[in-house]
Amino acid sequence: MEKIKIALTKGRLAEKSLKVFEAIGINFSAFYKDSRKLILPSDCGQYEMILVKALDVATYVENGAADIGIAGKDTLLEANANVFELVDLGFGKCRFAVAGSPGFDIERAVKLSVATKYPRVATEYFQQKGKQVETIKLNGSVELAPLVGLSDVIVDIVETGRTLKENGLEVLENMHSISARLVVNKASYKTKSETLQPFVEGIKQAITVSEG
Amino acid sequence: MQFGKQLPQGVADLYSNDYENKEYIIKQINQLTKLYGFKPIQTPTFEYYDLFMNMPGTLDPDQMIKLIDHDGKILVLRPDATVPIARMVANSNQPLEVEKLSYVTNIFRMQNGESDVFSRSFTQLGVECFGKKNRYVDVEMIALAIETLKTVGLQRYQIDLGQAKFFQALMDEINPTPELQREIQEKLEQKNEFELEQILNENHVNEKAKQVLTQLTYLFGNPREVIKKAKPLALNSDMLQAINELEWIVEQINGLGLSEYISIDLGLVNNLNYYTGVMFQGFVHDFGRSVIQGGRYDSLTEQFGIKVDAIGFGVYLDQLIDVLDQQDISLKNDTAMINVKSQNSIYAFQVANELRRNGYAVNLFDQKASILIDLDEKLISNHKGNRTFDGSDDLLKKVGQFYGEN
Repeated sequence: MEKIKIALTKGRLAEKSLKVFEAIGINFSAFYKDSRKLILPSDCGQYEMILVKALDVATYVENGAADIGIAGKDTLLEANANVFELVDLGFGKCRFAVAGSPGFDIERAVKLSVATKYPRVATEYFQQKGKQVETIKLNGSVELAPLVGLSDVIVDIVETGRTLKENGLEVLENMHSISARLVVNKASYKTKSETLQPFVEGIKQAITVSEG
Repeated sequence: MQFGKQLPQGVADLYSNDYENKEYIIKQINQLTKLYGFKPIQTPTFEYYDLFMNMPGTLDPDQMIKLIDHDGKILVLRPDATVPIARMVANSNQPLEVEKLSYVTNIFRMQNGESDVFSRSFTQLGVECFGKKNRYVDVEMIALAIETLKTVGLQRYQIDLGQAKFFQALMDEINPTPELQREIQEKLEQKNEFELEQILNENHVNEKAKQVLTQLTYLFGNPREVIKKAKPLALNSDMLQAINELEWIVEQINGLGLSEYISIDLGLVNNLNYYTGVMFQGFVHDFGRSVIQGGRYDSLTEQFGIKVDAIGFGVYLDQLIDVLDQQDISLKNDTAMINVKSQNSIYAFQVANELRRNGYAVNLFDQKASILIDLDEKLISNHKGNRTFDGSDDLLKKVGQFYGEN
């Protein structure tokens, strides 16, 4: 039986994903050992977890370096990868939002500058609204940008809004809601369907059980 | 010292063995397509942007590599193989019953962001069959696609069939706006059932069509099972006809003993403004990208003022080479090299030519050749040892024996 490779990102998403895998009988006890290994085998030996950066999950899966991936919808939208997006895992819920100083009027800005980790998502959103924007790609602490005059607004993921509040910003517009998704490489899903289809079905059931 | 002459991103040299391998695969496939009656053709490397700009098709105009002509017109490096061939066929004055054409060509495109692993220049090999729609041609093309992958030495692969008409006829039931149809296609293409359902609900698509659409995300896999499940879902006669057509093709493929190589995916809905009937993609086991893409496109030549039905497919040659490398399928018909040595250089040249006339590869300057002939000592040697020879007839005989040992 060939190995199935699963791309995950270290952190909360991986921990929740592991719970779901455990529910369908796939255990990665190696994950809980404090280790810097990036490739971890499952206990049954049939699966292999590879740990990658969130934004790279889609790239690994699209090119078949991993068969399956779990990533937030935010990174999938940004990567715009050609993959099957089969399950909404229901956890990792948050939303994309435009945020800025309280009372900032987006409509009145002639040329809106937007600081974001997600330039593609931001550009597409404003394009659909027919608004000309200039995106500034940042790699973290995006909230800082409007405060120090780097940009007018930011586009970022918002969970509770606490970070925004503490930095004197507020949500100006909600964009789309986000959650963790299970993605599968298109070729793998066809050529390894005997393993992958039961896997995906199992995950779907485990999700409904935990939600219901 | 640092190397100063870098290549642009996304292009590569193919050196000695790599290019030999590539040529070898091309030769194998070309031999095959020739046996099916395809004639090789070539179209120009660059053409006017206008030709591709408004073409329904597979390529985003932003990804085309553009040049400005001296009169200010925009040119593009060939971004697609089929469109220029359709143009060529439409332009030719000859009346045509059936035109079977094959090509090996480089395709050029911009990379799509920093994570794009594809080259900006890649080789595609393909076949196109123009002429009145004929379902037997569809079967032959699918069989040829299967045969192509077999020819290069692959074993575990599959051709995944789709049917453009099924989805198109389903869209007739709901008459979506172009925007809505684009969204439906996008979600269906991702088999993203829950988001598809959301969109259908938001747009108040009628219940029947909604059910069929969400079912479509599951309609893939074993051909017979999928067809059985799909038939009751047909909401109009066009949908049923589309399924029946596909069923007939599957039966023919089964009859040819090739059933193990095909599967169906009715959720295959990309490039629907291009394909009009059966569509297919070739996947190789344990390789993450498709190596073949093709289908029936009966309305493309209408862009050029005439209507000729057509079906074709392209093989992504660079991907195919990657797969073969990965699976350690040996590509090379390794030819042994012979070196001929003599103080009398004219004599050495003559013997070398004589050997070449007999089909042996001779490199007079290769000190590491696998067979060495010393004309002055009358010795022929390889890694196993050496033997003497007497006269040119005896030499030819012994070269033949040594050749066999390599």
